[in-house]
Amino acid sequence: MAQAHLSIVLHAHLPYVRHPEHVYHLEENWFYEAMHETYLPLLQMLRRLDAQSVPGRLTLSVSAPLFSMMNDAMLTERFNVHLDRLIVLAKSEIVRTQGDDVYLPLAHFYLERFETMKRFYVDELGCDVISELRRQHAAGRIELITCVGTHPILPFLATSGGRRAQVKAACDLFEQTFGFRSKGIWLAECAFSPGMDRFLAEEGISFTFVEENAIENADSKPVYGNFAPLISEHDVAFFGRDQIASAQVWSASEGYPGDFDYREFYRDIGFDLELDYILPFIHPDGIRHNTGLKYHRITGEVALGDKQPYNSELAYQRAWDHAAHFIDARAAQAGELANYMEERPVHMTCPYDSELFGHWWFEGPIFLEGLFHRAAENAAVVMSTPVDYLEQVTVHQKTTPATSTWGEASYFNVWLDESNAWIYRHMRNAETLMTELADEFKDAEGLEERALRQTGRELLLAQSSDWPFIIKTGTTVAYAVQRIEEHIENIKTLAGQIRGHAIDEAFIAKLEAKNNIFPQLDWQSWADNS
Amino acid sequence: MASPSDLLVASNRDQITMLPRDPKHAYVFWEVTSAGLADAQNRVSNSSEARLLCRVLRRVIDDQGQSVDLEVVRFEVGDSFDGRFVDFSDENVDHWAEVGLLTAEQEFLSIARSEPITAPRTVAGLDAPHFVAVELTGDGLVTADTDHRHPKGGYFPARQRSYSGSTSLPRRND
Repeated sequence: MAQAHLSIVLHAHLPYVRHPEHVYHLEENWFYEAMHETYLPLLQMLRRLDAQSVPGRLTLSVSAPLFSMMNDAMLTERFNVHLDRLIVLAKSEIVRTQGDDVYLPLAHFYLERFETMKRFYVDELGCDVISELRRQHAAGRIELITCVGTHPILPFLATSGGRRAQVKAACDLFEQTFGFRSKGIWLAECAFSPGMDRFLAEEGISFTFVEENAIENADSKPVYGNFAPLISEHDVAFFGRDQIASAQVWSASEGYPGDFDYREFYRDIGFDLELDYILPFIHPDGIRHNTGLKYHRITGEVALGDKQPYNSELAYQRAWDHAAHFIDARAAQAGELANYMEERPVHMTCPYDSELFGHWWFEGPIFLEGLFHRAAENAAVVMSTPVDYLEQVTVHQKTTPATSTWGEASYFNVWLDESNAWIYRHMRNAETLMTELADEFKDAEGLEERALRQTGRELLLAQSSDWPFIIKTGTTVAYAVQRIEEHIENIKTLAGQIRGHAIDEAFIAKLEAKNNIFPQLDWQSWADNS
Repeated sequence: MASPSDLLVASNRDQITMLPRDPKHAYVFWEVTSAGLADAQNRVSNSSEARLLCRVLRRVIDDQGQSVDLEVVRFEVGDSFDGRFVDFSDENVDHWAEVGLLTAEQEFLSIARSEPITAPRTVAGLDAPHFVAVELTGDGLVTADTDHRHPKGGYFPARQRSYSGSTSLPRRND
């Protein structure tokens, strides 16, 4: 039996939450939390694998908003301040919990963790995550790929030019940042409909990922099921998510992260302790939020107040056990599937939001590390990537996958429902306006060109799928609506200035400083509506 | 919070759009300009009795092989811009939406018509399997036709698409 390829695909993305206009902005914390809970622990994990010569690869997609924030001087400085604040908080906790046999060791656990993180980020990485990602790609540990632009629902965009702009913006900035062209791309929310592959192929993209039903409902029945890619009409390889494997990790009720020994996400000292004490470590206005210090384990289906203290050693071992179980289950699965694959190896695609590992599931990076170790001991499975598979297996079925997304019901239900449907009118009108401007002012230069480029940036930022997602889930709705309003208002103002030949340079400069993503954006992409 | 109307980027055109949500539902939203409405009303002899209406249609092939447009749903439009969810009637045919005036004589005067869409498919198509040789290059995939056939010419039995073993470890509950 041919060795099965297990592709772990981590999709790293956050909306662009850079706010230079405020010294402390609540939503910027999303970036800081993900940095010290997910991205840095993942990089530490990869280095440990290298040091121990453990074989295997994984695929990591990083969205343009995220790697732009990782590469941003202001956010780097602020993240350092954030880490320092965590260290001060952990030291304060050691004082506060003196004499407490249960919580004092946990305070020490966090102090050591934060100090180690700071040393890793500053001393080992030189505050440069981008170079480390580039190095890990060059070394072959990860297949680093990009994601569509600002994470839009690509099928919901109104124009070919708009779709082209989103894909090209990401591919170009990825190349400018990492020094090579991405071979693959992550479709935001795995949202695909036939015809979208043309825009990927134009940028030299070879592969992407879709939900399992996109493969199963393709134009032609997939003879290898969901365990080999399909080549679409425009020559892009589509790998289908294996829902069985995914559910083992994703599912809050059945998946590993719900194990009672793992750390409880929803109980944090930012909410537990007296306001006077915690105030220096939360929003200056006294708005409570997570600090990252969580002292309890999931325990079971009990109220937050009844959660039991966390035991990091027990949780660590549990993550290791779960990793072994996952790999053994994949090997058994591959054995069953092999009878139907004939001459070719099984390819199992397991994509996850990277923020699951470390942020939502604190022990997730340990679990991932365990996968590599266990797979190294199991001859039936190899930790692989789509690139490896496409290089080994060179004949594939050609047929285009069906319309689908990941998430609820595997269609657009999350991003298009009663709560958020209203946004698409404005998005599409703004997009049509941008295509008109790009066409009307195709020879623009100087200030006019700057205004057109900024209009494009504002549009891209407005189109992020994060905003309808937030509106649907009801978490920080006011912020999502404010972002949509702000970007569309900026587009209207810029369009008026461009068409009125009365461009306000100070206004442009202010927007360029704030919404500074895609510095070399090719705004003429919107004019190409072929 | 501003209302959606406060956000509108004026398109200055009559338009209607249909977005698929799932195999059963689509979202239709429209915008009728005052000029577009006035123009339609001018074409009606008794405009005071005409009603602004949205309708969804589908195109089918009849027994004689002719394409026929059938109405799926119609509803009165209270505002010149708004939106609502509608049902798809069939996943394999084109659907589109129109907004216009329905006259007292039941004649529909179209003001705007959407691009056609089809519902997301829930079963695979009937195309015969076709294979290509694939080469991964710096500029993307390069493919070439091949006479490769699946050795058994078959498909995955549905029951084999899923792993039959247990999916998770028992939880600790102590």
